[in-house]
Amino acid sequence: MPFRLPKNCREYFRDITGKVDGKLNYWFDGYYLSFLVGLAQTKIDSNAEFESSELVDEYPIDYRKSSDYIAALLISTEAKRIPVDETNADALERLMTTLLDSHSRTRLTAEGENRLNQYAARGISVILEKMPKHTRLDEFYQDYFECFKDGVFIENQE
Amino acid sequence: MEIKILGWGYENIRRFNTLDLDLLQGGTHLSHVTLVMMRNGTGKTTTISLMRSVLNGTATNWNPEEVRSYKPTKGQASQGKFYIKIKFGTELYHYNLILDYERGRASYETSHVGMSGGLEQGHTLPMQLKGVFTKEFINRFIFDGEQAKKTLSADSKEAELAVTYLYQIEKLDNLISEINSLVQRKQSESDSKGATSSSLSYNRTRMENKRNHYLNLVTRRDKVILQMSQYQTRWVDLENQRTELITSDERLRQDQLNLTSRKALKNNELNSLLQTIGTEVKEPFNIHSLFDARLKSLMNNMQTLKLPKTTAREFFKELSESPECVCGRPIGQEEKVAILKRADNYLGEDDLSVINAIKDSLRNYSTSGELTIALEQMITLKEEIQSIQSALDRLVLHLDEEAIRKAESIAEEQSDIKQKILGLQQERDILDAPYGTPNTSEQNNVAAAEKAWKEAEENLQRATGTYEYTQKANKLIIYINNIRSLALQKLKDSIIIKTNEKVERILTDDRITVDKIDGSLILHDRTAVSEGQTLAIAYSYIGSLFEHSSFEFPFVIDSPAASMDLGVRREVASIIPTLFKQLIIFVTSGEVAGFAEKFYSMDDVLYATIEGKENNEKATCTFGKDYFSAYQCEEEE
Amino acid sequence: MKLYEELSNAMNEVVSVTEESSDFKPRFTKLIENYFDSSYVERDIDDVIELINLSEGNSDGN
Repeated sequence: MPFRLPKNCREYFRDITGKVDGKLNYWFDGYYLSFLVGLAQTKIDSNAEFESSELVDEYPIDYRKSSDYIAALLISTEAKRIPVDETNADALERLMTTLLDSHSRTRLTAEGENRLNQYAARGISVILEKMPKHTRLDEFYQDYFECFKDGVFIENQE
Repeated sequence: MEIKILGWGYENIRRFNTLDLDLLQGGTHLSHVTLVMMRNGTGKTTTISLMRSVLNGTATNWNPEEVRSYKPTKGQASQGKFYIKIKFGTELYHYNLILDYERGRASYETSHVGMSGGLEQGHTLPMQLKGVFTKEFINRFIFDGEQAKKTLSADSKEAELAVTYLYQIEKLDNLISEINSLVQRKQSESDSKGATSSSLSYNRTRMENKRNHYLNLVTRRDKVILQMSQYQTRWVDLENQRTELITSDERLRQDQLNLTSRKALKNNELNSLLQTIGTEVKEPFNIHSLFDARLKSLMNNMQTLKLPKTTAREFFKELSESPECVCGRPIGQEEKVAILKRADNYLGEDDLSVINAIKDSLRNYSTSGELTIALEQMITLKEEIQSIQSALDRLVLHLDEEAIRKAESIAEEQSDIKQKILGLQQERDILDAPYGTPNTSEQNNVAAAEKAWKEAEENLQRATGTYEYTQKANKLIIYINNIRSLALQKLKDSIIIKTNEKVERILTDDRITVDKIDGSLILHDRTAVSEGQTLAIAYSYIGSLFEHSSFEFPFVIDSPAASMDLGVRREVASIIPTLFKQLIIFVTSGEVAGFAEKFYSMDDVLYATIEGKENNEKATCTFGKDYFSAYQCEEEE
Repeated sequence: MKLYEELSNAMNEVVSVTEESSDFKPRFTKLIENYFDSSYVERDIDDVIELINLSEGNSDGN
């Protein structure tokens, strides 16, 4: 299963995405920013609706270096969500086998990719609730990072 | 099948009165090109129009005014006639278009050599051409020079329409219409079989209401988008006026230039910062300490637990094949199955390398404050840009009184427009939002309204028992649409190849190719071509369109050279005979120079000069090059 | 009337990737040929519609 945009994502990021200066370059950027919020919430949206056509089936080139961090965050967040005892080697290893796949372009299994999609779906719902739609990227970033800083996006404080 | 026009004639038609044109001139040879000279106003357009009508059989639909418009202005003719002699393959047909001026009606007679009884009422075509000789079809081989140019005009869909009609692709659209009609009739029949219960009526009303509501929202959305565009244009216009006020004042112009230039620089810096932020964001540990903590925690756990373990899935798979376990116990079938099942809980060798790579990344990263710094810089920069903008805005205060008043009025209107645009934007966002967006419903959102309509339609179909049938019909329609698109694309591809072959032969000095047909012809990498080149390409295209079919048509062109300069005329004159097997060209004396005279040196050209007369006298037709060229000279004098 | 080569090819290409029954394909292609030839009755269209298979669970032509 490739990465898919949750249904509300494209509309929200429409005005700040485009191949020009001062905008996000990829729709994947919006997807990424959404799943970060979902991961921060430690919640997925299991009833999410996604666009029927796939977004991408591998990371855009700018994200290749981040793939390890993304995989690690996914494992770590899932361990909290399910939950799984992270001090138990077998349990942790079992979790990793469900999410990682060395043969996949994203290094994630179909389940792993789907889980990220679900985190993105939760993330965009939270963004829609807490932030207005922006037409300028600088205003979006200001608002977005403010929400992180103020803990608005963080569900369970650790 | 070869189709040739052998001649035509008029009886009691406008200024022609009575005239017969036999292109065979009593013999058997038909010239490749026939040039027909007529003065403007003598009836070229009338002839073209009548030729089309006599072939497409649609004159019976004319209203009385149209019929009587062909009546000669002088005399008391009660009936007129236009006829054409045409050969379809080896079969000779003669068509009469009878115009009853008294009753205001038109009718046809057809005579076909070999048909018993001679002339028959009605318009009869050979079987092969039934359904082919439509109005749209015929307009593509009997046409005027302006129509040719439309194939390359970005405002026109002529090129694409020509393919659609000539290859009858629109028949597939007609089939789809018939399918839809059939479905609707099934629904009504289902209604009328005593199932006129209130629930059916309710469902139908509900469906219609939902459909109308959806259509209203679509219309509203289009209106909102249009209004936004109009306001935006007005806003820009006002902005220009404002700038004009300042730049027209010498004192302020330099200030304005400086501020604008600074603002541009700052905007560039801002874009740079946004890029930096975009890069930093891709390292999630920089965004919030939560992510950093999770990654570090995972790293620590993996270290402590010595993950990934060196014993891997492969080890267990190999063990399951051994007769004995490492502890010495025998491994039977039951044990083998259990080991294999549990082996999947462990990472494979390939996975080990992935985990190790992840571990490595986690071990070696370090957070940086770059993101925080960039965000702070961004905020500062935005404040600076705002401050420059305020300075720009304040420039107007240094203008003279009248200019200030104007500037204030502009600012007021701009502020008002901004509010309106904002409101419209919000409305558009709601209208346009994907289905399921929070705060939207079928009342205010197009996608939701469409869904509601479709659901109501489904309910109606279920109620009328035609749900399944409708689904099947829809699927069939999809297949037909797929065939339509594919066939059209294949046709376009074939025709483009042929067109480019001709263009290459004709335009040897310049490499021009047609890339695709999208409404009009789209040229490869060209934004401008000369008029002569345009026509060369257009005629090559038209020639290719017909060449591809199984029929060979005669081409009748009215004034192909009218608005062209001499060089272009010569080019077109040398091209078009090579493209068409039979060519009939109507020209005025003004088109002889550069165009008609180019034919003087060609073989197999018939020259006909038609002169309309005053006072109810018959028009005359004189054949021959000498008369033709002399007529032109007389006209020029 | 013989259909244009491009139309015939398009028809064959589209029909070959459908998962309709072996009855459907020849009936459908003949319907189109007959339609172009003005040699059809409404019943022909009706019959072809009834032959469509809906069991793939969708009606999007795939």
